[in-house]
Amino acid sequence: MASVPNGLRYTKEHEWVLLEDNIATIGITDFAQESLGDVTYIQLPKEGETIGKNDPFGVVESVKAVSDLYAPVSGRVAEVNQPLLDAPELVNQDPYTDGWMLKVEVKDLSDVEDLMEAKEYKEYIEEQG
Amino acid sequence: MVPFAGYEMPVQYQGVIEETKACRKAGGLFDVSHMGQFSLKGKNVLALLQNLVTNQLNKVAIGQAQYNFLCNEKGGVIDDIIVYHRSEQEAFLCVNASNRKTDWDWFVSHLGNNLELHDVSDETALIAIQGPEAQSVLMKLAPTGGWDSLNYYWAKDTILCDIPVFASRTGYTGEDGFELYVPSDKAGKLWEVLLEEGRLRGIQPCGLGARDSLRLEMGYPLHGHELSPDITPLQAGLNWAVKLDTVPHFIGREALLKEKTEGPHVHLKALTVQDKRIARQGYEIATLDKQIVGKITSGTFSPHCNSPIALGFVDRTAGHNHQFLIKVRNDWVPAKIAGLPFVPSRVRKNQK
Repeated sequence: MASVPNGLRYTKEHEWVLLEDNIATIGITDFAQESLGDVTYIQLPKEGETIGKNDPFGVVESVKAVSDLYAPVSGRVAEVNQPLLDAPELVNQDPYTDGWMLKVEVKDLSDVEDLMEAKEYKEYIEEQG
Repeated sequence: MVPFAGYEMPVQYQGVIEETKACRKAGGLFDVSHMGQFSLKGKNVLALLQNLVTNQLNKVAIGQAQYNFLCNEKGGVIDDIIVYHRSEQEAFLCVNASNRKTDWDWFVSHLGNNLELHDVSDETALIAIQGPEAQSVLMKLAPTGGWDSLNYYWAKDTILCDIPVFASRTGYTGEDGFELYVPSDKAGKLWEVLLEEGRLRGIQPCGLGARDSLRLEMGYPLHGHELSPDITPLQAGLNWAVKLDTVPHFIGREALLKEKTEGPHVHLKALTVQDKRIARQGYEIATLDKQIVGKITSGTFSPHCNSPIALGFVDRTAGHNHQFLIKVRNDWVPAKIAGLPFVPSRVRKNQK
């Protein structure tokens, strides 16, 4: 069973968001990494670029498939997890800790309020089988 | 699990990369029961079958196996199959799951009047045990099974844990190993005992993902990718399994003879991708000045090479180039020609 920590918010595209003040840390969920399998490549925007809610902001590629990453919030990229770009397998090992992708200065905090809480997301992935 | 040719197939158990490594290090256990099997029986069975297949069947002794192509009149590959000379009047064929119906119709229409044909796919399961520890598992389970004297591309009917198996020293990984044809209703039990004994030696169950990585590291073709009714074996560089002087000649021989004389207009190339992104089926291949000269047919990440590897067809005009570009989504990624296999083959060397 995929792990779904409390306290994070979740998207239908299987990203997670941790909001601290106005900084959103973004990654993909345990369910997502399990479905993808071994991740071999991650493409992310650069620091200072802006991302728009629901727009593709990057790519995650596994042995099995290539998937777009969709922004859960709008804002400016404050920090990129550089070690992850060199060691994409961190996403498989620790999707919620070492496998984080971006820290984003959120423009509109209501972006986060729209997202699912852990309980909702758990139900959502159970439906997905 | 994914549906494939009517079977529910595991893509992975522990992860494609881990399983691929495990198979090369100790061994892998593969449930490949989706593969189709036909039995052809009758007098002169191999001579009759020779009308349809490209390799030299009169070289195949009883108990021996041979890789063959089933070609159409254009020399395109309907399927690539293994022909076993199971007994004097029986050929046993292993065919690709997705071509089972097409192959069957082809055999019935060409051989149905002269041979007794049976599609035994449903009652036959297939378990492959591959890797350096494969033989030791079988020797433990059946110490008097004569495993060590079974040569590469030879097979025999035997008993393993009270289960009748048709055991073949073949595989799709480049490792030493066996493929075990077993009655479907006994396959679960055989899988369990092989896995239990195998785990003690580091053998892991492997899914379709690892199977694909392992075969790609060897440069083995997969029908629907490197072979198809529109692709000839010569284009795919598999001339070794095409004998143009068989008696009788096979369907497609004239087209292949012509192509051999003129030279194929495309060549299958093995490529090492100098990037982390995987070059996948359908991605375009270009020269360094971005003239498109071909397409990728298969690609994966090779744990052994620690980089993506790929196979693809390149126009004859660019056949001598050593460097190419591959269009990966919006980027051009450099790739260079590799020698095959990507990983040294460790299949059984036959002892006389």
